[in-house]
Amino acid sequence: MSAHGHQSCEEILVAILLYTDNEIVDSSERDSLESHCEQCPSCQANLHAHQESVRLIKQLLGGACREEAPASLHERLIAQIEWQAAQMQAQEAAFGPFAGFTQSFSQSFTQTIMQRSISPDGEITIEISHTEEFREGF
Amino acid sequence: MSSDIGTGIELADRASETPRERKERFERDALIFTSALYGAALRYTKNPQDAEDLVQDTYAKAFNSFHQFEPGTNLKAWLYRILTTTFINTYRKDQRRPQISDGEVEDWQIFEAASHTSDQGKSAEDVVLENLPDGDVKEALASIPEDFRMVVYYADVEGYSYKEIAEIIGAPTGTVMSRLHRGRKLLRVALADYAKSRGIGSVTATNAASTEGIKP
Repeated sequence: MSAHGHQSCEEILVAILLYTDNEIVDSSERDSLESHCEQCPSCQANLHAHQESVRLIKQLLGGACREEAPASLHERLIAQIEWQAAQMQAQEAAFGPFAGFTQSFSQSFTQTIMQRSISPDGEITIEISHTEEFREGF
Repeated sequence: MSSDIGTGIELADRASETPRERKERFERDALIFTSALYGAALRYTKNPQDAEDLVQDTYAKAFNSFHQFEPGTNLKAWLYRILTTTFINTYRKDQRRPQISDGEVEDWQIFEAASHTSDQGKSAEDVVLENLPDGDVKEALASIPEDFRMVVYYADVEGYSYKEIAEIIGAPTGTVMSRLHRGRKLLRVALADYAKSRGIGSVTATNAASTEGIKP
């Protein structure tokens, strides 16, 4: 293979892969590849063949892999999010807004009295009876 | 990207939103991607029931962590990331699967270099493959190893960049590039096999093998 312009044909082969996927951000690199291919029939053929191959794969997969989620899944998701939001609301009612900050935090928060006494702003006092109510909910 | 201060304020706002507000924001912004996630889940699990469960688990985790998602960034890619980790941690937990070597960069360079000798615009093989039924295309994609399959899916169905795919699957961009090019090659061979088994066109095993067999 011979060199056309700044890059060798071997370098152009790698660049063709990136070029086809729009992964060359530097416009001077793109220009360099384009001018090389204009002068080099072998690289030009490789570029076109690779572009055509990727186009075909995108066309085939794009046509075949566009499944719609079933309506039953949408319903399950709505019900699930509703349930999770209700759980969060219950936690907040018992411990204030910071209790529900994350699920893992609030879960460990309920497990020991020591943790329960640490509130984010240092002002919230939690009654033991509230803790017990909260645990019963799970 | 937001500044640190801006992010801090936004995070505080999100932390103080009520569960009801979070639910409304989540339903409005996140649930519109249900079909997209279901499509990716089908590629992972290969069956509709597991795919539905995977999507549901993904959304459950996403809702709990929704305050950590930074508005204005790519929510769909964030959900794909959760989908991927959920699949790996839950559905693949007990599976012992062979490690796939990503190979060296020289591998796919030479591989690719040797694979295009055609000087025509559209090859006869391309014309044959264009007529494959959707079911064969799905099965061909399902037949290639998961690491390659998912990168090809994210790049060629979802149109993600190497960098975005790297974030979704938690791998370096060089690995993404390598898997994508090798994955496309494997897919072409699988597609050619389907075409051959259906007796459509003149794709020969020799043809397919000649593009695959050039490994150092």
